[in-house]
Amino acid sequence: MHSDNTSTAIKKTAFWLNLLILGTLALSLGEMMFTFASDIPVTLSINGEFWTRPISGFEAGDRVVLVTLISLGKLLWIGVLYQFWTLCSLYKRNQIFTVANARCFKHTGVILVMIAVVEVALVPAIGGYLMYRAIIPKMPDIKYALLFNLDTLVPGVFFWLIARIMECAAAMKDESELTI
Amino acid sequence: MPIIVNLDVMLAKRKMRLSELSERIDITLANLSILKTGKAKAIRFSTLEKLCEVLECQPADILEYKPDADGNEDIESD
Repeated sequence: MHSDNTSTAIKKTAFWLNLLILGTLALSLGEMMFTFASDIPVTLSINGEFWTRPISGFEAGDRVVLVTLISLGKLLWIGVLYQFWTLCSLYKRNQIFTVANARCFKHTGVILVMIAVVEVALVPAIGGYLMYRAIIPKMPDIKYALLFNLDTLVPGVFFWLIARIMECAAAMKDESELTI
Repeated sequence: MPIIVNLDVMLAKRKMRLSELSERIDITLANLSILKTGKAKAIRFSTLEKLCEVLECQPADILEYKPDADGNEDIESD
């Protein structure tokens, strides 16, 4: 059983973390808006040559699909922030080792793995869509060495592991509380 | 669970109320209720010792093993 001091410290940290999450969310949304507004060019390498076109150069329907594909990773990141927000809210209510917490860790892990998958699939997806729409003549060059980004895959699997540990901790706490 | 807690039977035999037992063994009424209603997952030896001392009985008078109707022993594996 943790002491009152520890409990207060956890609540205080969770409060500040909640504020930080709000700030990060605002910045992430701002970055997405900036992507829309700044008319960034879509650049692909086809047969070793660069093919580029600004977002505004596409038809409205294509623009929506492309911006959605480009923003998918960011949207998933917002999902991670939401999970952290929920975790902090639970910590503020003094719910440290609970099944709900374990679920948050599990969801975070799943979303991080999804971000890794989206990052890997982004260039082939954009290329495939543009080729399907006959905007580019063939699939863009895919540099496999740069394709596999494990930056979010490792923490994703790690969060999954933490989720299992938290499930065990919740079961142990439950058992401990029901030991008379 | 096939372990039955017969605390209510012993209390009736000793004509003692749960609140009185709670005071004498220094365990909260809420925890004793959990024990009495069979919701507890485990019992400490120290608690069992206090119960036996105050109720003047043996552990077997409080705890009873009764297999499930379908014969399962309901042993949880780790």
